[in-house]
Order: sequence, then structure tokens, then C-alpha cells
Amino acid sequence: MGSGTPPSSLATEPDDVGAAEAVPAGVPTITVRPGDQALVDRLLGGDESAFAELVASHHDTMLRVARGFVKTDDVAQEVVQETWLAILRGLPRFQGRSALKTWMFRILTNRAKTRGKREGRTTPISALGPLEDADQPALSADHFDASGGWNSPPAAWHDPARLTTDKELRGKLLQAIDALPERQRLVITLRDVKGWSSAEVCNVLEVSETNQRVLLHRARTKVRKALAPYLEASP
Amino acid sequence: MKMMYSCQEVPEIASDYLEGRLSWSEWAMLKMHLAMCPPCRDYVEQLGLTVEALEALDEPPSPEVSRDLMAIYHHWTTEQDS
Repeated sequence: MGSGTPPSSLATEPDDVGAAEAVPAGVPTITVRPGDQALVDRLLGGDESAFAELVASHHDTMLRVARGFVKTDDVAQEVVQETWLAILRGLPRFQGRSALKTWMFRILTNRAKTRGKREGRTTPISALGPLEDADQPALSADHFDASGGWNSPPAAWHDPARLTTDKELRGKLLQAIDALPERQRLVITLRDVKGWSSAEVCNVLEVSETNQRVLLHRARTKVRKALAPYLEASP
Repeated sequence: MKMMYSCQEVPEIASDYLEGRLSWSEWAMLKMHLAMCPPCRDYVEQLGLTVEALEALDEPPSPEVSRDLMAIYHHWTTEQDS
């Protein structure tokens, strides 16, 4: 992020806030959260703590999603900063036809797609080709014998509570996420790190429910595999 | 009719199992398999521990980022008032 004042490019009126409430065909719809209108009212009333809550909940996720559409972290940060002002400027017109979170992330993805196209990155998440390694098994065939039983069963994990307390293991977890193909990284981040529902992920990333499940399955499988060597050995 | 999964099939459905997305018959077949197969129990448990560790990763933005964004909010509220 830059200085403490918004860049001049933010002065333009957003043109994508209305379209952000439209739900694309074929993706699940979401029930509007009852707290949304109250939050919108607080934001419109100048309640700083309401904005701080929104930032704490969504800023990091917005960066990760934007990064899926543009080439660099810096551009993603610019897009997200612009999006925050677009959200604020669009708030008086928010009608609650979609959940506030979905509306916000639609504004973000509209902007990130436009920016990605402008800079020559024309592969938004939903338009990428076949799912990465979707036809591969979770574990390679050599783990199993001819009858489908284990050749090399998974070794027991020692003290797995370290996963949430050990700084080094936390670093390995982050590395494992970073090493995933883009769509798998996004889906596991939104679903497991950020706690989004599958319907929310399908809406924002414009992927089908089936593809979302496959991406999550592949991502979780790889992250477990990446962590295993550090947990199989005694600390 | 299929009565039980092989060990090789368990990793393919473990994520859906954790999500509660298996049909009743798939769920029952998997539970039956897990009851008899410690390595598959280990696998499914480890995948669940992985998901729990991922849930613990979430962090709020840095104070610097929060400050910059708060400036955007102040700018907007001023704009509203004028």
C-alpha cells in the first residue's frame, strides 16, 4: 500500500457496482445475511469500526483473489485499493439482492479481470483450461497393491497439535499453499483458510460446484502430502 | 452392488467425507471401511488435521495496511459530507 491518502485514480466513479449484484447463470445463489443491512447502515453513517471490521475480514482475501487475475502483487494491491473506494461509493446503491460479501467480491473480480486483460493476462480463473491434474489420483498407484490395498500406508503423525503452534510448520503450510496451481490455491484459501462456503466460492470465482469440489480435493491432498514428512518424524 | 471401498478409493473421497458431501450409502461404506482399516483412518484423520491447520492460518491485515485503508474511508466520508 502506498501513502495514507487515496491515489488520484480513485476519483473516478465506479461503473461496476450495479452489475456486481447480478448472479451468473449456473452458479448457486446465496441467502442474504441478516447482518448485512445493519453493517451497510453503520458504514454509511461513518462508523469507523464497521469499516475496520470489513477490512479485517476481507482485505487479505481480496488481495489473494485479485492476484488470480493480474500479474503482480503490486497490481493486485492497486486493484484492491481501488475496489475499496468503489465499494464505498457503491454502498448507497447496495440493494441487498446478493450478500454484501458477494457484491464486494464481484466488484473486485470485475475490476481485476479488466486490469488483467489490459496488462495482457487474459486467463481469469473461470476461463482457464481443464482443471489441473483433475484426472490424476490423489495418491499415485504405487502406494497400492493390485487389489487396491496399501503398499505403503501413511505413517502416523507425531504430535499434530504442532501444526497450529509450531512456527516452522506454519511456514511449511504456507509454502505448500503457495506451491499449488492457481485455482487450487484460491479455492483452498477461500474454503479452508477463510471459511467461505462452497456456494460463495462458486459465485465469486464463477466455477461450477463440481469443479470447486475437485479443486478443493486436489489442494487438500497436496497440502497433506507436503506436511507429512515434517509430522512423521519426532520433533 | 458395491459393498465397500478399497483403500485406493478412500483418498479420492476423503475430502468429500470431511465436507459431509457423501451420499448415505457412500458414507456408510466408508465408515465400514474405516472401522476395519487403521491406515485409512490415519489418512482421513491427517486430511482433517490439515484442514484444521489451514483454518488457523487466517490473520488480519497489518496495522499499516489498516491505516491506509482507513484513510480511504475518511476520504470517502468527507466526500459524502461535502
